Order: sequence, then C-alpha cells, then structure tokens
Amino acid sequence: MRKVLGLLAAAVLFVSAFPAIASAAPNGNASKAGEAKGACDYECLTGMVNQYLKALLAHDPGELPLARNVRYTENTIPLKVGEALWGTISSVGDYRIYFADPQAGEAGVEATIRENGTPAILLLRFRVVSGKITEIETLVHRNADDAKALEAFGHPNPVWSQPVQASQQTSRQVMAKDANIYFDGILQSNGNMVPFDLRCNRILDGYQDTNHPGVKGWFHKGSFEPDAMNIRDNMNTGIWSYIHSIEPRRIVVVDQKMGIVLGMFMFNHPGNVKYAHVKGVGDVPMPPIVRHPSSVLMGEFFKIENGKIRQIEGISVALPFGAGEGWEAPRAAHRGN
Amino acid sequence: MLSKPALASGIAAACAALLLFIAQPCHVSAAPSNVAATVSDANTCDRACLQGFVEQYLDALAANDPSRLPVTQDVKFTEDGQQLSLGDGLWNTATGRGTYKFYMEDPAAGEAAFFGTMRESGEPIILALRLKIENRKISEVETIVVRDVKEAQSMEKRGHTDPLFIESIPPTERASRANLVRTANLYFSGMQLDDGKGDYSFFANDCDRVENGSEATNNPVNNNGGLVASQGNSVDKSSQERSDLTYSASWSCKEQFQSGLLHFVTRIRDRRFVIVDPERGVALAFTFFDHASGKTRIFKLPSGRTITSGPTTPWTWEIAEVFKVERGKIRRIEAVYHRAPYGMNSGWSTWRESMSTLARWAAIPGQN
Repeated sequence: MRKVLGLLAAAVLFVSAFPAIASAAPNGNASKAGEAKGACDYECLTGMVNQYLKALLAHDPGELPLARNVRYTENTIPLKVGEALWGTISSVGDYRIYFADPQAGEAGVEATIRENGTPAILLLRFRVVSGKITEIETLVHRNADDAKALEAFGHPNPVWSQPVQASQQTSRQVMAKDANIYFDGILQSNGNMVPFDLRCNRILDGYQDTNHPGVKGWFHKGSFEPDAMNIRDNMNTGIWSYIHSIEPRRIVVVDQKMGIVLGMFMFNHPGNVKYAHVKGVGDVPMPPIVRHPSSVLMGEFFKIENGKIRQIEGISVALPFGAGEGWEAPRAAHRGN
Repeated sequence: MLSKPALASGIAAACAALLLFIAQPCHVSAAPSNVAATVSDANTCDRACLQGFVEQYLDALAANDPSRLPVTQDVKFTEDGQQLSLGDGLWNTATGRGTYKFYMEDPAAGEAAFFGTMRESGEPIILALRLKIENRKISEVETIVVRDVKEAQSMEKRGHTDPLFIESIPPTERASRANLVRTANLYFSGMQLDDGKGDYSFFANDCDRVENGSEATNNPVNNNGGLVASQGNSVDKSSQERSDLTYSASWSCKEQFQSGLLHFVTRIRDRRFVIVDPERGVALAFTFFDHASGKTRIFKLPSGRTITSGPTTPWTWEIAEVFKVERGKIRRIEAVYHRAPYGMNSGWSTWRESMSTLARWAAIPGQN
C-alpha cells in the first residue's frame, strides 16, 4: 500500500510540476501539442468529431483524414481502424457531449449508440496533427440497460454545453489538477480535499450515484444510503476503499471553452477488501463484484467552473486485473510482448 | 480443412506451416525456451514430477504464499492475459482448493497443466493453469480464472474429467506430436467461419465436448447451451425452420459443425498448443475465439438459406481447450473459457503471433 501511495504521490507531483505536458499531450510529448496549435480550431475539431461519427456509421474509415501510422484502440486493445465497433455500429443517438482542445489538437464525444440494434455508450477521443488523425481511442460500454438509462435522462445535463465566460475560465493547469485531486480524494476517502461545487452530481454508466435518494445502490445498508448523499459526503464515507490505486491517469482533453477536462483513468481493485468501515454505521460489506481482482478503465470527464468541480460523467470498461490501457507504447499494450 | 485459416505471409508463417505439415522443428514459439534446453530439462521431471509441481502450486496458491514455490529468478506469471508479480491477482484472494482436478503433462517439453476448481473469497471458481518447469524450478505460470460460481459448481458436480483423457494410447497407435496437433487444430480451423460444408471426419462418432463443466454436445437436457447460447445466437421459433436454425447442445460434435451455425466465430487465433502428450493422445491449446459481429452475422447455411445470426457486439473468448485424439480422430474435448476484450493478447505472444491463425507448439527433435 505504501508503495502504491508513493507512486500516486509521484503521479500528483508529475501533474503539478509539468501541467502543460500532462494536460496538453496525452502521450506526454509536449512538442506535439505545440505542432497542433492553430492547425484545427474548436469548430474544426468538433466538425471532425461529426465527420468521424458519420464515417463510423458508414463503416468506412476511408472517409477520414487518417495519418499513415494512425493508432487505434478499442477498450484498450490495439486494433486496425475499421475493426470491431466499425463493423457493428448501427446508429448514433442524440445524447451527445462534445469536447475539443485546440491547443492539444484533441477532440472527443460521449454518445449513446446502437450495435446491430443493441444499445451501448461510446466515449471517443482522437488527436489531430496537421489536419490528420494520428490517434483514436475508443471506449465502448456494452451494457444495454446502462445505455438506455443514460438516454432516459432525455438529454445531457445543460452544464456540459454551457460555455464558460472567457473571464471566468479556469487555467489548464488548475483544470487538470482538480481532476487529479478528485482521484486522490477517492483513494484517501477524503471529499474535503476535493474542490467540489456541492451541486456536483456524478453519472457513471448512466447511473447517478449522488443526491439520488430512494435507490438501493451497491453500498446501501439499512438507513445508510451513500447514493443519496452529496458527492463530498459520499466520498467521505469510505465506501470506495476497495479501490487500491488509480493509475495510470491520463488527461487527454482540456476544453477551456466549455470548462471540461476529460481523462482516462485505470482503477485497480485487488479484490481483498471485504468491508468498508463507515463511521456511525459500522462495517459495510463490499459487493461481490469487487471481491475479486479486477481493473476498470474509466473514461471520465469533469465540468470545472470557477476552479470547482461542477459535474462528473463517464463510462467504464471492465478489464482483467493489471490490464494496460493500450497507450503505453506503440503496439505494446500487453506486457508480455 | 487446413486451408481454411488465412495464411499469413512471411518467413514466420512459412516456418509454422512447415511445422504443421511436415513437422520440421524450425521455430518453436509455443515454448519460449529453445528445443535443446527443453529436452534436457525434460529428463529431470517426469509425469509424476510435473503433477507434483502443479499440486505444490495449488497448495501455495490456496495458502496465499508464493514463497513456498521453487521458481526461477525471472519467473513470468500471467492471469487472464496480464503479466503480474507472482503473488498478485488470485494469489491475494484465493481461499482454498476445489474438488475438480484434471492434470495434463508434457514431459518432453517440461510443461504441466491443470483444469479445476478453487475457492476465492469462499466462492467456487474455475482455474486453468499452465506451468513450465526448468531444472526443477517453475519458470512460467499462465492462468485463466473463470469467476462464475454456477459454472464452477457445474464442474464440481461432474466430479471428475472423462477417464479417456488419462488413458494411455497403445504405443503402436500413438501419433507424432505434429500429427496430434494437426488433428486438434482441425477443430479450430473447422469452427472458424464455419460453413457446414467442411470435411469433419476428424471427429470420432462418440466425440463429446464439455465447456466450463457443462455438456455442450449430446446433451438431451440442455437443448441450447454452451458457447453458442451464451453468444446470443438467435433462435428461430417457427417449427419448420428449427432444423436449420436452432443450434443444439443435444447434437453431436460433427452435427454442430455441419449446421453451419458456428459461422459467427470469425477468427481463432494465437493457437498455442502448450501440452502435446502422444502417450495419452492429449493436446491442450491456449487460444482466442474472436467474434467480429459485423458483416459475418449474415451468412448462408448449408441448405442455401441466408440468415442473420450471432452476437451483435464484438468480443473474444479467452480459452484453454484440450483434445483427446485417438487414431487421428477427436473423441473428447474439454474447455475452460471466459469473456475478454475483443482482440486481447495472451501475454505470451508477439502481436503478429497473437493475430495469426496458425498452430504453434514445442517441437522435440526425434519425437515429431
């Protein structure tokens, strides 16, 4: 545990000391971010997102301006562009949240989709350099009920599409730092250290697990309903103590215009935590799903207003324990290579 | 049927093809160690010795204590395709051993394997295990952990594996290592993009298959079971079409292939035959079944009728599958498998190898 905390501390230091690198370039190459600057502005990037969705729906990557060595992953696995989701997608829903980061040349979208008619949730991000797409990262949360639950909200929370006044925009560094502190707060069961706007709600895989009274979530025990709490108090309960580490953490899009920061975060669960010790409640048993080793890649995005986290949303992809994220090095997602 | 897998180009493919057809021990990539070393090591650990290592491993695992094991300095461990430190993963959560035990050995290659049950946090699970032994030390550990209580209970309910798997083949009837792999590999080649029109004479008439503890063939109770049912294969309810469209676990091995309904298994790749045991006619492969679920959902049955069937989303089965082969025919099949991200690698192959549909195994000079 100490070793892991040491690594986490190192990760925090990395983000704090080199915010431009951490926030601008997902592969840690700051010079690439510089190259992308000015090449494709906000509207250009969001237009390319729509172009991508159109090509995806047509099952035709040939419609896209792909770099010769474009890298593509789906749910962490390196594949050829045109494989997997490219062969199965049958429609794109109206539930969409766009992201664009002209400074880093990154863009993305969360959208509900259908694969051969089966509902799913897509989280896409790609990188554009000199007008060409060089990196494509897709997460597909394949759970029809979750996708339908997300659509049942009717539309995304309006905060996602409300631009932040230029005078009130948060710096890139602070946006990335806020997201990072959120994960530290989870690991330390300390919501007080996270700059939450207490109106903040979290919707993951179509389920709102904050300020949501009357539902029996994973950790419901008698009158203890953490899903009914605000996000700070929820975090303070200690119910997330089964999460042993959250690494790596990659900030991939910093959308200052909309105040959105998007990242990919690997949650690692050894599966050996049986109870959460909740003050005033006692031992709350961990649900069976986290009582075996597993890793989960979260594609998660944060709305930052006035330096505070106003809203959180994202999707998960369940993976074997210790799985890589597919972006460690070209064609080396698997450590056995 | 060997022509069915897409033949990759290049020297590696040519070499593997040679292995497949004329059994020349050129590149032996299933076992990372070179052939000469394997033969030398094999002399130091016979079948009983290999099984002893498996027992020792399982006892240490149940005790959450890897320090009990004799391992090489650079021992490599994977769980569900991910390389971990020995002591991580299931080592943190195992709480006991189970009752189902099926041991496999390849003394010539220094490899041992096991299908069976364990307890994790008190719940039954299924474990597929492979160990490589070098100089009486464990140098490689590969595991697949199936965390499905019902399937683990099914396995324990069966009690034991089919005795045929441990019966010796008369010396005069034993296949070479290459031919043993060749016959078992026909199964994978026949299933991949199955069209029902292949030559399935490699199945013995009494062939049976068990998957995660359940009878997947010749099963009068479970009409739609096993891999196919769990892959969301559509079933047409109209009575006149049942013979065409209703895949059944009550069919024989051959009938299932002849149905053409396995077409949605689009690629069987990274076929690593890690145990090749001519004495018992046993070949065990770790491999992946991909389901692209795109255009391949639309296909033609042997009757000529075009249907749309199979899973709607892409995914992969990570599988360990063992075959009992007698006189060139497959009599028994047993598999341990679970779902994995589409296109996943095993942690034991290069990217090119992991995408290949060619069989690989440890060739032993003088035994091919």
